Amino acid sequence: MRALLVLATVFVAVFGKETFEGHQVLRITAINEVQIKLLKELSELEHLQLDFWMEPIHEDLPVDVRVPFQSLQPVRSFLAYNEIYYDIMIEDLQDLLDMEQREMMRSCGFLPRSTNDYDYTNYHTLDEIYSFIDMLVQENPKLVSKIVIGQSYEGRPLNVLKFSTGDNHPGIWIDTGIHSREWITQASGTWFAKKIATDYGRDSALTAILDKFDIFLEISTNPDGYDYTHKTNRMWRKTRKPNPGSDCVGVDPNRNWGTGFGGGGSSSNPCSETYRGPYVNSESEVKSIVDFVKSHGNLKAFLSIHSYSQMLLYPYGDTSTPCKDHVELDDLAKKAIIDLKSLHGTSYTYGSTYDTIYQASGITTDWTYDQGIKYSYTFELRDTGSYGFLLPADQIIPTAQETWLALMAIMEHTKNNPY
Amino acid sequence: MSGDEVACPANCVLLIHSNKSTTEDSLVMTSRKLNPDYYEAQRAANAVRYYINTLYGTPFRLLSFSKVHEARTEDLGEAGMKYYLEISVKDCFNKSSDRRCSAEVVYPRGESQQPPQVQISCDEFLQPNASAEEEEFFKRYSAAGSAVSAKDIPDSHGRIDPEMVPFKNLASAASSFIMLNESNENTLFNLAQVAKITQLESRDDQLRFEYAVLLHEMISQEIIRWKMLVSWSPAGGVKVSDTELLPRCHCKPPTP
Repeated sequence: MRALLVLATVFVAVFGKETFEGHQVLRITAINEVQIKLLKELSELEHLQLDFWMEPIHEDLPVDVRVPFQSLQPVRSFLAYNEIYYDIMIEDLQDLLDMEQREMMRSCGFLPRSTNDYDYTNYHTLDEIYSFIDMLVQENPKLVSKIVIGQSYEGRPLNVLKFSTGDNHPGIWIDTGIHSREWITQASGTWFAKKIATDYGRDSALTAILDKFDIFLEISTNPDGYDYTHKTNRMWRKTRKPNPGSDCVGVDPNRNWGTGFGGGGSSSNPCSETYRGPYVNSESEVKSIVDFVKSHGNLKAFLSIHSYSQMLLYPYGDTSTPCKDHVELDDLAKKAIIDLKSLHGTSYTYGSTYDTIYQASGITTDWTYDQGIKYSYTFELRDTGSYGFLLPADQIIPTAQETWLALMAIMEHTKNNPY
Repeated sequence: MSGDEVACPANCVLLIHSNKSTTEDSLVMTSRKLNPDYYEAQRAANAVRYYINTLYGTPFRLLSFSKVHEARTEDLGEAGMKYYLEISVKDCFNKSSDRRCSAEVVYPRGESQQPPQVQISCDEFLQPNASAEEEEFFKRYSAAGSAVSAKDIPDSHGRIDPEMVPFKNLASAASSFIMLNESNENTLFNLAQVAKITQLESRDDQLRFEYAVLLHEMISQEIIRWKMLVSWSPAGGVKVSDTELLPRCHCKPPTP
């Protein structure tokens, strides 16, 4: 055919690129058998690299073909010459793919429209976590509310999720992210929040707990630090408050509490990662929780979540002197880690903070215990040092799931053993 | 190797490394049986871990312990504090490889840091077999013009490019030399991140790399930055030289 010869001489074969930039998808409408035959012959010209999405079969059926950029001119000439009618279905395939990709990313967590769209298998920025919190409240207005207990040093709201089925209930507190580099904790906290909202009314054990207790969950307990780990230094641990007279920034929020403050398990040097701060509760992130605990007055369990080391710790951290309830706390810790291990085989050790990991002075759970909150525990989540703080995101859900079993063990025991 | 070659995060001011000033209660240790799960036994077991990785670690093999079964101490007076351990040693990449070993760690007494002396009983288990992977890796990166260069392994999200995994393992094995040297009864180290790796020209039939690594010290919670020159070959094992402690990054708030 003369037309085909023209085509063949005009066209220069070009090596195909990986992207689809400039590719068009044409919808061709053949009006008779002759045109169908022509299209079939066109489809056999391999050098054009045409990709028929709908092959030429019959004049009643449309013919869809992806045409690489370099073949557009010859193909359109061919169609025009033979008076074969066509529409441009897709003007630039790559543009369309890019748009779809963006849509996909949006629905995968970058801009989720609901907590069902949220990507629990990845780490998130502070803004994304705060959006998540607002969405969860919006979706579960009867069960979930947001309390702002204070402001961080840099003025960020300290957001606490409150899960409550009625007034004047005793409370259980869970915090994650007090040390900002421990990313697995904020990620797990987010998962816990969704878990609680989902399981209420569906899981009998959790429902029984919530019918008696409020649960308070602070996901990003050190938001200034967390933002800093995203933008500047992934290994940042402390708050971001400058220290007068020093070039070093920040206080270890887990050495700033009133019980055991100043002890050997903390540092007086502002440059140290375990710097206790100039005085008790000098950090607003800590003071806000202290004020909340005191004004609530009826918390029965306090669970502070860290990483890494795979440990479940009870008071004290400042001293080797066993706390009054150490037998019960030890038994409960033992049960909790058996439950934890049952899911994925993860082994935890347990004991008092002082005995198990190191002397730590002025820590959260020493203070909360001394306030009368008997079930005060510190968790150290995965792993034991292979990845440490940089735990791969594919471990977020398994870690959250197994930790949840330990939390449930402690919460159930709290419910069943009122004091 | 100049110290300021390694980048501190933006907005940080480099200061002279400050000495750790912990006022931690000095450990009062007498000869006694230890809880194998608690910190004294765990720190000593980690010293054993560093030791065996200096000897037997490779880009494809790292050793660790899955459990401490028994532990006790013996006060040697002037000579130091001795730990006796029964531990299960495992190959990190071979789940079924647990083997029970006895080990001894002697921490010397003294004001300045000196490494512990370590001995372990199950040498024959730890002696590596020649590995096809190692030979292939060695050949590939011995090729003329090979110039591996990377940073932040793993990245902030814990991701590692599969091709970089052997380099991370090599960093672990090499860091073990430093971690062992720096160990005492008040330390516990892990490799937090490989900050930077640059391949140097091979010499004496060894692959050579310059590494900058971040070590996490558990008791002080410090991130300590080290530079080191690492050589490796399947026959020669891991060798480390030119270790250099890098200045701390202190992050000043931005001036308005």
